[in-house]
Amino acid sequence: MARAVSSESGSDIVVARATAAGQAPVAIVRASGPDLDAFLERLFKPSSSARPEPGRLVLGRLADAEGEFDEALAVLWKAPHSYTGEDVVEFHTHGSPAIVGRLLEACVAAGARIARPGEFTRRAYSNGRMDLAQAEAVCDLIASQTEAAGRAALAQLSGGLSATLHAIRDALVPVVAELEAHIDFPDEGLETATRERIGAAIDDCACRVRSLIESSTRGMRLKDGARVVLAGPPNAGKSSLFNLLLRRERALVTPHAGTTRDTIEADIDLAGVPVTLVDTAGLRDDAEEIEAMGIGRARAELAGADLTLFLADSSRPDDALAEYALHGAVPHVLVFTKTDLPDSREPNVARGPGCRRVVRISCETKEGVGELETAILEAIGASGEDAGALVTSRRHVHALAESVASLQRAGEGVASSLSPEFIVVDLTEAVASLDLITGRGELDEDVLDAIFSTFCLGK
Amino acid sequence: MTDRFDIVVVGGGHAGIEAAHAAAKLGCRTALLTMDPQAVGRLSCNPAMGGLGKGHLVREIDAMGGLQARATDAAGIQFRLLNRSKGPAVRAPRVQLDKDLYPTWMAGALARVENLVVIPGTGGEIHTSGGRVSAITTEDGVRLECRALVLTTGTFLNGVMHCGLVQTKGGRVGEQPSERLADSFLALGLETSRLKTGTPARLRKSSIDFSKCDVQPGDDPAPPMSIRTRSLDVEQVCCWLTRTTERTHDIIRGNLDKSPMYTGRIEGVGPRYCPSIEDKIVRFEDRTSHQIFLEPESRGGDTIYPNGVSTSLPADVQEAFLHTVPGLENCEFVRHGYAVEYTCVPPHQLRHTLEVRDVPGLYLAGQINGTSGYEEAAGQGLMAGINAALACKNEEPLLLGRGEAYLAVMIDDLLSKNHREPYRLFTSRAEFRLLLRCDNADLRLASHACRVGLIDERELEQVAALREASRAEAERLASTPLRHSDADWNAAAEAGIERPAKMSMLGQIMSRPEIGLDTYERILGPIERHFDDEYWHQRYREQVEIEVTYAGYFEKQARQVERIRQMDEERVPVDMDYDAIASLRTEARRALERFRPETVGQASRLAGVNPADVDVLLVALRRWKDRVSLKVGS
Repeated sequence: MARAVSSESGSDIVVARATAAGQAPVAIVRASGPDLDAFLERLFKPSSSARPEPGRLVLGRLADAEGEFDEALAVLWKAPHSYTGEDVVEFHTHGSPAIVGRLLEACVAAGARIARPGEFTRRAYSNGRMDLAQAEAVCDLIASQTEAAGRAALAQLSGGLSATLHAIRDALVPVVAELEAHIDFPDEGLETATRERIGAAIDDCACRVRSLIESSTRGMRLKDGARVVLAGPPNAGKSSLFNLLLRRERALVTPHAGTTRDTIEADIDLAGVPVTLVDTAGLRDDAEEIEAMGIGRARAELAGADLTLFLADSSRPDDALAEYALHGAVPHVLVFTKTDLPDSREPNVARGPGCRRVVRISCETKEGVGELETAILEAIGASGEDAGALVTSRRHVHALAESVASLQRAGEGVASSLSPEFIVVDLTEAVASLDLITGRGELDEDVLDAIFSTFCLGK
Repeated sequence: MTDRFDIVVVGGGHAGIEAAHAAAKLGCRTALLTMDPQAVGRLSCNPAMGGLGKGHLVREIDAMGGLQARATDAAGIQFRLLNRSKGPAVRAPRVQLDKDLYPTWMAGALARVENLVVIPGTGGEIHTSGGRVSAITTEDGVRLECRALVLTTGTFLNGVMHCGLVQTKGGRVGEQPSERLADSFLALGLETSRLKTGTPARLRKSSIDFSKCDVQPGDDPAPPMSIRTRSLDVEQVCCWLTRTTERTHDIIRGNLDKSPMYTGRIEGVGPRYCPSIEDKIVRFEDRTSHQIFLEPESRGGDTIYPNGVSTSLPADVQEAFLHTVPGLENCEFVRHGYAVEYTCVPPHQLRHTLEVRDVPGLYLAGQINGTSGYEEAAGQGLMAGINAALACKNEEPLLLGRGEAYLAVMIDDLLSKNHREPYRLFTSRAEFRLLLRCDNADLRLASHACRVGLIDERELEQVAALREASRAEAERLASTPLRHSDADWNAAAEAGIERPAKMSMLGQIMSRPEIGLDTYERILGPIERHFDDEYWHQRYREQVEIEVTYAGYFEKQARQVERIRQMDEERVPVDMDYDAIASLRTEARRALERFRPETVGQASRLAGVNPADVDVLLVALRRWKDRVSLKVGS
């Protein structure tokens, strides 16, 4: 039971983001493993029906169980002609954390696991894709990466996550010990373990892990930031709002022109969260050619945004209806502007399914701007106080989610009076998932220690 | 005087018996050197075999053609299956033995083995030639030349017995220790350490008032230890249960200054799982009572083994405290309890074949490797004997995986962990516990046993037929849709099975442990019969039921086994120069240097070695292999 089975081996699919985390126009997500044809097929629908050639970038759309979610380029290298010597797939997507996150989730759902630092490189030399000198260099690199990762982990863990995880583990070890004692020492006349007590202890740990996962939305926003796009029909007040949000943060702002003529980005610090604001061309159907291209880019920005501020002029709300109907499904805050104008009215607009909140503002009087900022933070999941332990890594979120799933199975097993050795299987997995984050191990020895210090055995 | 053998086994205990038996069965000319050829396989401590983990081992030894399970069935006087209310993986047989009958049966069995001679004597000096073991001289000066030497010295290596503050040299009461052999280890440059174990007093049965004790009967019918024993026609004896009192504890507390443990006389480390009664009272001071099992040592004899009160307190204190226990007020002592300290060889110096890494041809098994228990000893003896014989025959060694057998879990643990106490098997040590069951020991191991030559083809075919047929039937049942008549479901309701809300498979219903094959058959009629023979038919039914019920868990563990198997197949040279791997963390380097893992899998299981260290090791291996192939190429 108690030894965690390492999930690491050369036979599975690993995936990781290959470009630095944070804001970049394009992100690369890389996967390596044996035979990735089916994997690629499941995640990526090429635009052209021609069968893509290995080593060639192909345009298409990314898809997960809920449907297609972004346009992207993908390339497949077949073993052994790749970096790792296995099949390798790269996806080049929009750089927003939302898209990258969803793509990583989709890869995991398709059977991959998140790679450890240095794992692609390790596979490369294991498969003979590197010579001696390279391998030596890689060795040092892995060592330094581990050290850097260790320092980063330490920095993170000193924030309370470590203590929280150890406390949860310390609560689980006695549960495992009690179940194991009943298995291995049936003649010792041990007090019967009650289902209620064991079940409650497991549920309590599951709750604690769940609240850590809930902290991750804010944790990852703090680390990765968010991309917030201003969209809406022409003259809805997008640029005014953009400038207003910047002016308030002038000291912290580094505005720079986007790669396209018509999209402007600037980074602001919104209550500690790094937010990239993107101003876009007004959305309308009857634009002439060049403006139409800008509008196309604006629509692509909407798809890659963590949040869209959809602006509508409150004195002429009907102008926005057609476009709003088109984009109402993306996560957004509906912003009615120009509330200072005399003919501003309470518009009667059906909210789109992606609407998080409706805010009325005036860039002239600054009415509603504070409310809008709060709405943005809430909508990107970055509101609230730091409760000590904060999860900031997607790898950690995955480990925690697996731990919760294992704890749930263990809880169900207890409830249905399953024999203890099966409950131990799930509890061991739950602890192994936590140990992936903290780097602890040797659960079997910890359990034996707990057994012998808790129970007087010795027939 | 000189004699020449392929293999010499030193020590006729549980390890030595299996080692000598297996080696001789594999066709090697084998000698078993033991102090008293009529007393092989003595039950020096408790008169019982099996239990959790241990019973699993005995079944595996049995599946590999060993003797321990058959001897147990022949000498058993009470048979139980533990954990009946739990799942199949943690049920295990435990048998009370007749301590006189067991060695007699063993001596008879060994006498019938071809290629095996049992020689009376005590091991003295180990001789090497060119670094390899070449011979052993007995203390009487007889020289036995051999190609491989298996040492199973138990508690006899520099054994010292403690009864109170009185010390006597010896490995068992009344028997001399092996001291010259211990010197030999120093000469070979092996690291040694001291361990301690203890045994309680023996009481006169006729002096005990059993009316004050609870009775513990055996199971009816008696569940055999050996998978080969089809049924047991045995009249069973019972055991009894009594408890210590507060007065018992007061007496012990008042005399701790006379305990060699608490006065520092014993330096060896005792086991936490088998503490002395003085340990239990000191460590769990708020417990007012501890269980004592009264176990008969033989069917007709007059001695009782009081299980749970092992002690090294002086004789008069032992008598005083036991006389405060209900039923034992007037008990007479046949012998007092004592502790024994002995020398062992920390097993990180071994290979998985149980050969000493730096002394080719020398194999160690049993307590000398720091283990405790007849079953653990026999399991190691079996593997050491097999591998010594295979080496003599220039055949591939037998290396089992942690996902295949408790035998492998034990040996891998021995070689990969820091041991603070004598090692004992628990089922919790097996990460693939659900797969390593008593009911399927032969299904797991028959192909290995046949490959090395310990069982014949016919036996393998029979076992393979059972495995194939039960798997196929389990799969068929699991994928059978439930489409039954209302009458069927009414019958099912009587058996407590609710009709599922939607269409489902039989496997889903059967995955509830409370619903067995019996219930299923009451509703839908008997499953197809594959074996005419009733024994094989019953085993077939058992396997089908277990496979269908726990299919989900088994598949998951089987996938994990596959993962570690790949890591365990990646070999690491034992002479790897870890100092030359610059990127290794110091902690990892120390662990790797001490344990010298034989595979990447084993390296990954060492305390102090993390996944990144394993990566670094893999790079170094790649480089090492490149160099080797370069050398071979040039």
